[in-house]
Amino acid sequence: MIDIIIPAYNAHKTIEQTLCSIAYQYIADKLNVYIVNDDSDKDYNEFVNFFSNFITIKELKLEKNSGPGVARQYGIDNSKSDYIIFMDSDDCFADIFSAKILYDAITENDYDVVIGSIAEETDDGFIIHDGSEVWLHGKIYKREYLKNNDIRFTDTYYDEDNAFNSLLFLGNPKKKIIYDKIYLWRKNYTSLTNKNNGQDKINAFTDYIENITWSLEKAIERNYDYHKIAKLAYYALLFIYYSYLIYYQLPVGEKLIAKSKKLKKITEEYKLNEEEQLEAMKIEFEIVYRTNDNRYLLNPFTSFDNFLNMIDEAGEE
Amino acid sequence: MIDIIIPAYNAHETIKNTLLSICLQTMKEKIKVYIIDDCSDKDYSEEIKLFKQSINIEQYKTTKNSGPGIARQVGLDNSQGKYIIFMDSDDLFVDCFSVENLYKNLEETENDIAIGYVIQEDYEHNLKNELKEGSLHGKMFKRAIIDQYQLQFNDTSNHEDLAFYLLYLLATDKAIFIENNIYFYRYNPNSITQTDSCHYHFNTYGLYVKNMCWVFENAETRNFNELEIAKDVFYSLVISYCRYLENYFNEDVNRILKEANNLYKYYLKYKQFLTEEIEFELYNCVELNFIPPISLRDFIYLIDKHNYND
Repeated sequence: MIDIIIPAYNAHKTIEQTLCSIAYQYIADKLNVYIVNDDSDKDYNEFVNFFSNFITIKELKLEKNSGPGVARQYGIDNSKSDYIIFMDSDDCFADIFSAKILYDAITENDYDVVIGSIAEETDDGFIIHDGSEVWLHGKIYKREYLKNNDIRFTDTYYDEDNAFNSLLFLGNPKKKIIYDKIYLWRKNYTSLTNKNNGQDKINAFTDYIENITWSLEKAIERNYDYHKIAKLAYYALLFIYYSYLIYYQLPVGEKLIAKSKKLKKITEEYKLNEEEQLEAMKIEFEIVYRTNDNRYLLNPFTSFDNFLNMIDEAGEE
Repeated sequence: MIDIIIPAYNAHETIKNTLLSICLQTMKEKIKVYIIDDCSDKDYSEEIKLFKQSINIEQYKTTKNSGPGIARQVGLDNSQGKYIIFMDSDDLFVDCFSVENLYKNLEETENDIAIGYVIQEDYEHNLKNELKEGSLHGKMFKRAIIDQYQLQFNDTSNHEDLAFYLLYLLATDKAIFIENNIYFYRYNPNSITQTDSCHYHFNTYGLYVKNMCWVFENAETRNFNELEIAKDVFYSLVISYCRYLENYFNEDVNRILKEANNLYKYYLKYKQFLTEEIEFELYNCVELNFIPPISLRDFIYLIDKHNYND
């Protein structure tokens, strides 16, 4: 059996399609759905009533609004099937076989996690993300592995999925990548992750840094693989650098620098060799260049080395 | 503006999933669903009550149990949408874009029919996807064409879907093939078309011939393109040939020759439009995995001779 955990905050407009895409699955009889109500304005009774005609479904309630990380953790703690799939309340399975493909893959060889492809809907068609270790989307997790390795969600509002996955993959789980489209990441401009105003950007970036630092510190505590830690830390720092180049005009710039001290210390202790550093710069540049307004990147006003110095010189928070 | 017509006979269990997959559609606001109750033991009010908050849905009833063809016709007669999709009461759309994909390929082009892939499940639950030329599944039709040429379903209990589809394609050749999987043809042990295939084909061959003759007749009265009719006529002989080979060691095999004679009459009339290349191409549509004991030419000759002996 598989538990599907959906954190939901005022998702009454979008969740019907999410639930439809679950209830019509080829292996619907193997699925238990948990809507974790993150203190929405009203409950999800109407959906539970309708979809109980097709599938096992339950609403769990949080006392106060706590963000998707806490809601997902609550979902994990209050369910018990062998496997777990996370979905957002405005997205869908890619097609009728999505859950079956994940289930067949993870049970085939007792994997800890299976990574399927995500189809991200944009104004210009779909972007396909293969083998991504960042998002929770399109994956199935073995409960036993999460439990035995104490992989949990943090209580931040942004990027808690990244922290969860970072720690998971730093721990070297038995994983499999499949290239079937599993998850349809629907475009939804009102959702938490798609807001574009200044304050949200600041929150998103500081949460990102906090989360990635959290997962690295945990990994260090647990003596996870040196090289994996070094790599993740370096890539994260590069990502923050490029974000800084793009958003330096907003107050977010200073905040980014102040928050990155711990992360920089980790990169000093856990070092990538020069060749790997260059490789990382190339890859991270390409990712950021492809997905952002890129005029700041071609002629950066400050170098990566300068950026690192700025972190050192910045005062403690 | 998009009508989905679902003939249903005692399909209360399976149709709920069909409706769920309609509920999932990105275009569900523009869809109207018609369940045509072919005199089931009870009506579909419960299912409609369940879904009416999510989708625009209503039911009509046939006057007597008459098979899916007549039920679909009742659906056509009672709906007005610009586009039409036919679904069976145990099948589903593959994903949330199934209808949108079909729709876009008609609305944004000059085409009259959109044809997508069908995923088919067999009795061992194996899945394969294919463009199913012979059925209504995974396709979107235009009402304007149906109205213009007064296309209808006939009342036979089998192959009436093939007949409608072929007649539609004789009415217009503006078809677009879509790369996406649209329709999931679910294995249902209780369905009439999914019983033991060889035996079933042998028994329904008579209905196949009847329907093909119905197509040719209707095409003639509507003055459809003769070359296109000729191709369908020849292809129906190729299909007959396959049925003949499948049943070659069956003592009843001459029944096929007798039935095929009805097609042969059209062949005599239309073979003037065919060339050897066209015939060869149509013959190559079938894959034989054995060396046939007689050739297609011999088979056609046999039909003729059989006729003579009668």
